[in-house]
Amino acid sequence: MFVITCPYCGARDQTEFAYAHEAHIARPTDPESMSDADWAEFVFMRKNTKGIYAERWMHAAGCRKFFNALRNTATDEFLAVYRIGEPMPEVSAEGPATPCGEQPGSGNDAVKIMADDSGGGGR
Amino acid sequence: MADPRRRSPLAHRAPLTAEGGTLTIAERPLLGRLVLRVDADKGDAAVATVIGAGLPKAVAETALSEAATIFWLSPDEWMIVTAAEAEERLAADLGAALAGIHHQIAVVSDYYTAIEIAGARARDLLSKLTTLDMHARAFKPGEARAGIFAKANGVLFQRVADDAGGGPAFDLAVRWSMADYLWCVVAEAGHEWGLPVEHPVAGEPLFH
Amino acid sequence: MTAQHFRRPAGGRIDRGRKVAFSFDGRRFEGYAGDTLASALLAHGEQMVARSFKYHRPRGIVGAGSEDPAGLVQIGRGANADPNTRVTEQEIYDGLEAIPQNCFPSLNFDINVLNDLMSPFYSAGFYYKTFMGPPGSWRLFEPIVRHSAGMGVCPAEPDPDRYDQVNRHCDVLVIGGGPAGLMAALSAARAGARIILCEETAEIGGRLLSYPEGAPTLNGKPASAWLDSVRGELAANPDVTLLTRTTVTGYYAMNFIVAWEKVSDHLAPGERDSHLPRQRTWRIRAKEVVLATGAIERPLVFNGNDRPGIMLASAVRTYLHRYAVVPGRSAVVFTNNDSAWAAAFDLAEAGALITGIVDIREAADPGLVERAAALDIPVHLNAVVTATSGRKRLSSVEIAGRNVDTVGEDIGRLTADVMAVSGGWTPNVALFSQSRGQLRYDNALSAFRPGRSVQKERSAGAANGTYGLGACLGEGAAAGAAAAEAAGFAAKPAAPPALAAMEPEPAGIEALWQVPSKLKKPKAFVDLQDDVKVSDLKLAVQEGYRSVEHAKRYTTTGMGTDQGKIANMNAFGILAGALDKPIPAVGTTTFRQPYKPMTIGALAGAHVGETFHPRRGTPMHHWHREHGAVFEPVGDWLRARVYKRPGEDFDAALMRECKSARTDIGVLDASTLGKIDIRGKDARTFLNRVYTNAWLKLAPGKCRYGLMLGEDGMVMDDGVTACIADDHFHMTTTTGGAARVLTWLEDYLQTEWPDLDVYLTSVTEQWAVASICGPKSAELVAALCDDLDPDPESFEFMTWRDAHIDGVPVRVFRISFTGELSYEINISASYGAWLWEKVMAAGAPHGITPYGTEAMHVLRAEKGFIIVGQDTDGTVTPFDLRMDWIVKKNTDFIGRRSLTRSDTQRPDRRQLVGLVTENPSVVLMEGAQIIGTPSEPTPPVKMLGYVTSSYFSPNLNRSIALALVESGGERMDERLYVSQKDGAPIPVTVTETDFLKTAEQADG
Repeated sequence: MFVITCPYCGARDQTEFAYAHEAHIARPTDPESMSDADWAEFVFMRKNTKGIYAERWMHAAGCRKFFNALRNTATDEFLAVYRIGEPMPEVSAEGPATPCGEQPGSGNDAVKIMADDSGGGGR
Repeated sequence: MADPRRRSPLAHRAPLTAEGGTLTIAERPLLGRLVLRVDADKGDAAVATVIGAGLPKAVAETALSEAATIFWLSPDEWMIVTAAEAEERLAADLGAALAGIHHQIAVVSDYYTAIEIAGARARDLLSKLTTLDMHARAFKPGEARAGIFAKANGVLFQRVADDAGGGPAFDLAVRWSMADYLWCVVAEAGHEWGLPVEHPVAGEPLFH
Repeated sequence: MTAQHFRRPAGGRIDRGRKVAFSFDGRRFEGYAGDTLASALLAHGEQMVARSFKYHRPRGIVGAGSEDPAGLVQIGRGANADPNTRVTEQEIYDGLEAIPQNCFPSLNFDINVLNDLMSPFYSAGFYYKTFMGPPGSWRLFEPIVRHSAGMGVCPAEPDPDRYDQVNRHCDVLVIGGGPAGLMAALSAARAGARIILCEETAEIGGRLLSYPEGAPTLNGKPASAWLDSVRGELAANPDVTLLTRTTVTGYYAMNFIVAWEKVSDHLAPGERDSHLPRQRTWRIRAKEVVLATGAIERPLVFNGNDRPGIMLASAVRTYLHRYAVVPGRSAVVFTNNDSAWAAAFDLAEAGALITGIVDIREAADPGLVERAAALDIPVHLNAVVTATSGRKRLSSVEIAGRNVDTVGEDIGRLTADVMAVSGGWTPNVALFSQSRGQLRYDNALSAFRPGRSVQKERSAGAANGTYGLGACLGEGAAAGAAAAEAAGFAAKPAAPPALAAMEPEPAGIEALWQVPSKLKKPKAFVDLQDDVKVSDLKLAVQEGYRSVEHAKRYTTTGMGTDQGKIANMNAFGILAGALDKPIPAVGTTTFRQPYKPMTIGALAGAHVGETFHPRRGTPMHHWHREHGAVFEPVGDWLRARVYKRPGEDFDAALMRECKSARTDIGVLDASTLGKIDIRGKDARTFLNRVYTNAWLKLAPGKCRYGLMLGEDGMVMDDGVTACIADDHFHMTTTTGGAARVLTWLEDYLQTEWPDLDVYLTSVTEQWAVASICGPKSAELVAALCDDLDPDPESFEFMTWRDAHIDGVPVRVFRISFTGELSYEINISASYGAWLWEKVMAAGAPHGITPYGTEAMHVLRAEKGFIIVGQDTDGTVTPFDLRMDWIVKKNTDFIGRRSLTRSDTQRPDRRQLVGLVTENPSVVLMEGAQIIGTPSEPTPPVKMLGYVTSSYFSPNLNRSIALALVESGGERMDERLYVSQKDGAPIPVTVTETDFLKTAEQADG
């Protein structure tokens, strides 16, 4: 259960928020001029990145405002929240991409423990 | 005095007091309520001329005058609470004062009712229902916040300070249709300190 | 009742003034307040408490807390029965009844012990191998397996107990009330931080409770005095919440922590405060966490190591000092490290005969060896236990010399009714690992310890691999201060108490994951609950399992209700050996929430029964209840489905209601419809973009029906919107769609079109709505209203008027969902009940009939009106509904572009049509599939569509149905067939959807 910082109401429990999918997908101004494929791209396709992802949330049980967030979907860390209309902030991509530094997609099976640094290893 | 033909959502619920008096719950029925939506900067002065208090500008802030209490709900939305049946007049006055400014005034007196939760254990009781931080350091007298209470949305307002005799008092504004559910949940949460168990009206079996 | 022969004459944390009588396995026992079931049974010399899961081997008391693997019993009977309760955790109370489980007919004679004789056949993967095929055989075996392998029985009755949940925020959460945790709590509390301290057992103190009284002393006083002062300081601080009998079961994202408090389980039912819950779940959001969860001792894995009487050395000390029980009269200590030697000395001190200390190492701490000699305890270094004897409890132990990985010469047989075993200590890293922290293998400890933190937590004391008492106190104080600092408080570590009279704390250990055996297949158990032996783990590796996670699942090691708390480290060591890899390369299995089994009741809290979920009622709900309403849920609402008169059944009531709405007057409570107040100069433009039809010219006073689509072109919601003024509209939505539509509209306003001057506010519950319908409804409205001429000629269809009833303002809408003459009266909700009574009284002379949602469904279907969500399923466009008339041609609206996608233009899309059966009394089943042939063809069957709505219409005196059918619009009068679960398909004819109109046309 996350804590999400609403840009208007401050830190609140995730239960107060509704997820509203990928951010920065503007509705085309002239849909009729678009090909089926381009329109389908707008309607159906979302990036769903593992890593830093710009997504929209709505503070459903609070101010009912939509806002954008940059979340590392691998660690669930919120790197930034910003209001609709504000540009996407620059965030440092430093730090582990995943909780234990595993490659995205590798699962964390091998990395629940750190590389042996005590010499020899137990048998 | 409200029109006797009106019936509040919790008219069938008598106030409850815990043995020892550490808690009481009661409906504060039929208060006048408006939702005002306007640009905060553009509407502030006009609201102040009518209500005698300007618009609170940040989360949890409220503004109080003889005419009304204003709760901040969002950057462009406020709930204005006034006396029973004073809301139509207030709505008209606000509408006149805001003429020419894009705004919305909706009467919502019957959309909501308020459950008053008062007494030394009020904060403990509320912390069973909401993930809002109910510690006195975090939720202060005069503050109001929207949130989730059990499984109902509501707006919680601390109307009486903790150091008043009898402890703090909170008003929990809740939608009409959820009021009976929330009343029963509040009573259940207070059972530990002696509130009786209440059964929801809409608790009957669903199917024939 | 036997006497407590194994009780020490003095000492312990028990209250000797309060005797407690309880029963176990049908026999009566006596203990003292403060005893656990385990300590009280041990006081009577009872060691065997359970049977194992698979082989039904006798199981004894191994641990002294939640780490105990197999001592599970059922507490109580009937609705209050609590299965799978650990004897080492359950506190006794007067009248407590403990019932052994997993044995039949009794603990002492268990018929399923035959499983043990069959054990060679029940090796790792037995279930996988045996029940792979033939298909369906699992159904045959499952009941048999379940009966013999059951983990207690779930009560069939509803749970009579109350449970509770509390949300709490704190600055510092300290998990564990031992020396490190207490120092952390003191340090953080003195800084002014808000603290929660969770202690799993009945009182704080941790290991201090398992030391001999006065050894050591803290600040010159016995441990109990120091604990009293700490308890007093914490209790006096209003910002400290000290929770005992509270286990942290889950560590989740962003320091969200679930703690489980057993509020009343330690009290006799008659002593429980009826106002208090039985258990309580704390949902804690902590700024910082200190993990002071201690370390768990692990056993050695040797032939015959599962016999009752073989206990962890630390548990032996806990029983000796905390509970004043001597677990045996003659004892052997078997260890690979120094710490267990203290158990031998303490046992000797308490009067037990120590027949030997068997240490696998070539040398132990010289001080320990000296002290053993002083106490005349025979010491066998470089020696191992090779076998044990005793049917239901240990009687003797065979030992031999050790030759590295093989057994040396026999040494002899030692008499023992208890054996204290230690294979070393494992820091309790379960919560650290749940927090997604990374572990590090420590060779010196032969165990994993916290490595790198991910969340805002720090480990202190034994949980961090720091075992010495003095070091634990200091590390706890530092961790508490650091946590408070990180939470924004100026803090400094509390000064640890001065220790004196300390026994030395030698810490030497030699890892030995499995003790060498003379036997080819020793009965050496790794997991005592799930009966996993060394041979099972080796077999898994032999059969190709390489990942520790796979080997765990294949063998079930660590998969019991104890989550392998004492078993896992040994299992990892054995697997590493079999795989010939270092332990860190093998890794660990995943520590998952909950740390130990919780009751479902505690998870549900007060969200049960009537208050499980909100049921929303309208202002007229009380009237409906009093007048025979049968309710149905619509979203969270409860709506009257039908009003049954005395003696009437559901169908009869429904038919009566349907008829009356078309012959006289019906009235429906339509208050639940979503209502949105829309205001602003751009309101029209906005409506024109969100509805498929045109809105720019709707005049004040008029209403219009609209369809909303998603961007995918599929129907999402519908409703009537009224123009109040040029910049003011009143929108209605479906009952179930109200919240979704408002959010969706706000989404467009806030993110796509912030330039539009439009505000939206939900007014759903501001208005109560009585929808009056039927040929006589105009007369009723005329009688009700002070100032409204309801004549349908002047008050036209799809318009609305302000009016008053007895001076109360109302809005009346001339809109209809039935095709009949209708008036929807909207009034402020607080007048709703009054209005309803008024309508019923004024309508009585006209034969007014309240009708419910079921009649509403029938009436609208007679006219072919759709219900979004019933006749649409998210794949239906307006064209599929054959509502082409509602789609405007020239301007954009949400979803428009999708209507010209190649897929939405397919000619073979399913379209909404009517279906009538040949036999008018046959009512089709909703959801039934439609096929093109009179009999079921061989699969795969081409499905043409399905029935979306189906009723018997009393007004048409026949059944009617709506259906989505492939190219339905082109199939008028075609014969199709509706597939049945049983029997031949039902022939139907495709028709238009307006059945009333069709019937009128047929009548001429």
